[in-house]
Amino acid sequence: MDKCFICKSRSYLSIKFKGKKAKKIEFNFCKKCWEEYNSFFNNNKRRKYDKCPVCGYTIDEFKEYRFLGCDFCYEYFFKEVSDYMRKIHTNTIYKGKYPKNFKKEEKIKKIYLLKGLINEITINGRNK
Amino acid sequence: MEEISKFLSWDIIEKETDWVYSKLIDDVVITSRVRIARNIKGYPFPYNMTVNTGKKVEEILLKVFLNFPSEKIFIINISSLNEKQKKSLIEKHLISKEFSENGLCDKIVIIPDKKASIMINEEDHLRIQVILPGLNLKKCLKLINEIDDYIDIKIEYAFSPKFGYLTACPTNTGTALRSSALIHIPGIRFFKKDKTIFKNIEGIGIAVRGFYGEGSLPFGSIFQMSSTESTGKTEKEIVGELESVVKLIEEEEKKCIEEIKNDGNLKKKILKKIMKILKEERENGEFIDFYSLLFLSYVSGILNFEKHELKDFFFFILENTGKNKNYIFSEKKGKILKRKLWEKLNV
Repeated sequence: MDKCFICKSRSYLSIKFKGKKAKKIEFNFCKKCWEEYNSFFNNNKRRKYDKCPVCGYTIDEFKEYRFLGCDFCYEYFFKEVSDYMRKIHTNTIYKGKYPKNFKKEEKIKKIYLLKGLINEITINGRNK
Repeated sequence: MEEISKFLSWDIIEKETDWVYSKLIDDVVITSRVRIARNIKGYPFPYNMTVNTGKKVEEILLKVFLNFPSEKIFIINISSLNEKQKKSLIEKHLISKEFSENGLCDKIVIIPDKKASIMINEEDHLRIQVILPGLNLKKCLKLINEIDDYIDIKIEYAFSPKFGYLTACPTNTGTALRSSALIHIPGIRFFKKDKTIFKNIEGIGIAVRGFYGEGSLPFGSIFQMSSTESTGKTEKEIVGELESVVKLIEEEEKKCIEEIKNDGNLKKKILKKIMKILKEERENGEFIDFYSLLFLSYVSGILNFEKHELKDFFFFILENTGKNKNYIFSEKKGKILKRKLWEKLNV
């Protein structure tokens, strides 16, 4: 029996994705990895203020100048930054190198590559 | 931190950065460049930092470079350079014009054996670039990875698995890598094929820019071709795609030069244009093409040049273009070059 695509250790439940042009693709996820996969892309946290708590940069400054104040601004203004990234980049799934000391490297890489594959098949123009 | 540049003579810096234009006359591709941006985790980006924070970031990064395993490392304080020296670094694409004008950032690090220059606190904490003469994008990527991997173990980079390497401007976020090639295509321009070619390559995500990159004007037939996407692809893919396109342009340029070599009427046309510009005392719109015309006359055998002579013309024309000067050849250097040219034209 095939194991989960992500952790390669637990047995899977099969998730099917159906594309707009009737293309189908099936991935094997275990329950834990499926929850983890969804939590990466469903960031529903609501921030309290429109000002980054680390550097003080505001969302209005971002909307005007299209620059950010610090690395934490990417998390704090996640929705606005993600929307902007989708407008300016053809494909926003990160496929490049990782810093040497970055933890959970292999698992997270797989999740993001998987998301990229699914996007390419199922979602037409979502990243535009 | 001691300012090391006080003890360095400018001549040494000029000599050690000479590699940039070594293929100016020989290749369609003058230089290949790969640049990456990196930031330290937990510090504001340069546009949003105080002077003290800027100094702190600078200190952290300079400590990293002082121990870099290389025979020679130059740390230059830009504010100690005069305008001519800054211009020399800009012309070699070792620093950007914005960097030279920004008061907050003034340290650059040059590592000659990696052909690298690193700006500290330009738009990001680190802008690392490797420039090699000729078409050498893959080698640029290899060298820049060596530098990046070294710094990676010394400091913690601002990075997110969702977005990649985090930069001040989201247009750079992801690999934070830009690859570019400076190309000289006088043949393609002579046959007016440039507009069609540029339109086609812009359609596949390669930008065509002026001599100094984004927002700058072209210098005659010298353009910068640059990748535009920093995410959604690996570093190798970004560099590889640009290299493939540049190779096609190289082939097209060589065909155009062959056509000129075999056509006496075209050669006459080039000579006529050169003589016309030489007779004008005032810089006009055609002067920007002067170097390319001289180059065409050289490669097609119309005029005899030593390579260093052509290089002299290149730097003279670069220095005097866009200045709206009267009597462009009336200053000492201009007079000497004009006399040399007339001799070659046998007039």
